[in-house]
Amino acid sequence: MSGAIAHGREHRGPLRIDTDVVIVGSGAGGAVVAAECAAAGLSVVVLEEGPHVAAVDYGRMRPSEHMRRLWRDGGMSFAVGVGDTPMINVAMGRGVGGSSVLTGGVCFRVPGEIAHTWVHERGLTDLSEEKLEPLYEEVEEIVHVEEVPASMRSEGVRRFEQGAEKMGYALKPLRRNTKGCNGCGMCNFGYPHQAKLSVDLTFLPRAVRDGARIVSDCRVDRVVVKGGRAVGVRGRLLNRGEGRRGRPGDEVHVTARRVVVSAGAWHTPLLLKRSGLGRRGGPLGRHLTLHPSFRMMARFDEPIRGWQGALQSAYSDAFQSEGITLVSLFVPPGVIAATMPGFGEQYVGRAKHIPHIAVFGGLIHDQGGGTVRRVPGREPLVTYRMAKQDRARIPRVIRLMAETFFAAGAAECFLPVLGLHAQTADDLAKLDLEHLPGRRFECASQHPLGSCRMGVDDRSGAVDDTGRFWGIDHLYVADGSVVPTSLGVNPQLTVMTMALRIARRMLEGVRH
Amino acid sequence: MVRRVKTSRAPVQWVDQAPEQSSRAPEKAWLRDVAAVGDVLFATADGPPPPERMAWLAAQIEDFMARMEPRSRFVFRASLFALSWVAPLLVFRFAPLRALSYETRARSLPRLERTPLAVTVFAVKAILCIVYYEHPDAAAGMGFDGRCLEETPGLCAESAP
Repeated sequence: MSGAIAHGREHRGPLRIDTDVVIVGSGAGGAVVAAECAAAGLSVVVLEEGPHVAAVDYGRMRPSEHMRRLWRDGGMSFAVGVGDTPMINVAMGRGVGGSSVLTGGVCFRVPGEIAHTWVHERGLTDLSEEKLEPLYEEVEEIVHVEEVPASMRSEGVRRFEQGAEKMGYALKPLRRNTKGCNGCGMCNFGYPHQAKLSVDLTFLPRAVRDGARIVSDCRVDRVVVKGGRAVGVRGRLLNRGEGRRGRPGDEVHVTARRVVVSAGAWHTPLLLKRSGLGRRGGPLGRHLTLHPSFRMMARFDEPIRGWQGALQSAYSDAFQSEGITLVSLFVPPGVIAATMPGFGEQYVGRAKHIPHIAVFGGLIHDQGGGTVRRVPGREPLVTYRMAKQDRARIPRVIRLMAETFFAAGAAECFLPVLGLHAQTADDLAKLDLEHLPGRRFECASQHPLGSCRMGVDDRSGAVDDTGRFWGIDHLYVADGSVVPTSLGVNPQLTVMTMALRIARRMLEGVRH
Repeated sequence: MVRRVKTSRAPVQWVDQAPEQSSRAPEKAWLRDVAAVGDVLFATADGPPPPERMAWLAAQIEDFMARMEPRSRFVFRASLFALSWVAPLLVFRFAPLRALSYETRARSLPRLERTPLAVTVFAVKAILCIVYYEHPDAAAGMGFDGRCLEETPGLCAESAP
């Protein structure tokens, strides 16, 4: 695929392109639309702000190199907690393949009760489970969704499973888009054997095969709208400067019959707002959901070597009625070390216990409360005010995971609480987690959704149920920002499936 | 036509597996702050890590920051500033961390972690640790065997010709 990618960093001079479809962003949404439109015979150009790094190359990167080169802002993007809400670190991709390159590969279909809500409470009648099912099947075949066998579970997950059984709930196998995974626990940081089939290994090669062109290092500044119709985009190549990071240089002018924005739940609303779209007080940039997530690390007396096994292999939906999903995970040892408290001998001593550490994660199926705001500078200001019931779930999910590990025989747990040292089971029982201020919690998100959500009119959503931006012809949105509500499960598969649906509906319009 | 291609089956080695060693102290003040924090953070019973390890860490952090958006760079530098100037105040010293002895630094930094500024400690520690433990010696020191990264057969991915 490398030959079909124009590296904006190396291009000299202005870039002028005329095409049928221009797609802003090459992640799970944009890649699917590109493949579908190119297969239909349209000329397609994909503009990606980040660089192109071949899978064989990022597979050889150290985790921090992967973060520096392919994560937006090196993994240092934050949603600012408002009120009693923690700061939330949000991981997003910035490179060809987008965030699909840094997921753990977990694939869920939309849970039945969520699809029911979309249809019966939000009036999005075409988003029923039955109507989405054939699209899910198509996507699953292309990205090779398979169940993670029990044999791929790490010892850490097995321990958690033992604890869960003692506490009366069970783990279920996850499904992931992998092929030939040998369980090196590195999917988030450049899968060394290209076993995770992210879109740069699946949909984008298909798009390129059918004639699509990809321009990397190309920042889009605005969508051009004339007479109520999107007619192209303007931007700059990041080809100026000799430093590690390209600065905006030559202009990019693309005229197109259709414009598809797939820049993710933070940057899609930002780009549209910057283009003068979206009415004041309207849904654009609001209703952002994040799935606030918490990790739990437990130390066992025996070695666990949690890195031996699939990075993510099992989950529990036993607490879905409480808005909590538990999902297994592991992260490279250096990243675990990063979250351990203390300094010096005490800290290094703890880091030496990393082979004894098991990790599990819990995410909250949130009600929303995030807003993407346009401020001076390139990045948005994202604020997030947790709903009261979501805030109350933080101590619950933390206790749940710690108690499960203690039931499995863990010696101590490292809670996601800033400045708190390791807790034994007795310490945990005495700890007043419920009254800790929100700022003390260490919270992360990998699933920003809904900031440009679908709705039946321009008051309830920024786009209609075909992804078309309300009030502007030929402008579509296809990424996680259109998902109408929080899902409570990993969204990658749903983002791809909805993008496929949006592309098909858009193509119907083109044919007519 | 889409074809199946075998991808790399060579044993995986991280790109920078054998980083250059340099014992030169960083020139920029903020990188000297990084080294001053790293000295304390990664110290063992034998004392702080060797200077060349800290020089490597500082060079890596400089590269990391050079790729950040200005706002995140500011957040990191502001957090580092808090560690460098506020932590010494907690042991009644009015000088930047980098100007203090190792013993004084080792007393001041843990105190900052127990204040409302703990989040700044976390921000700096997170980046430093992720990078530091990628050094092959540091990774081996914590017991990471890396065996999972070795060659395995049967890998393939869909790719364009």
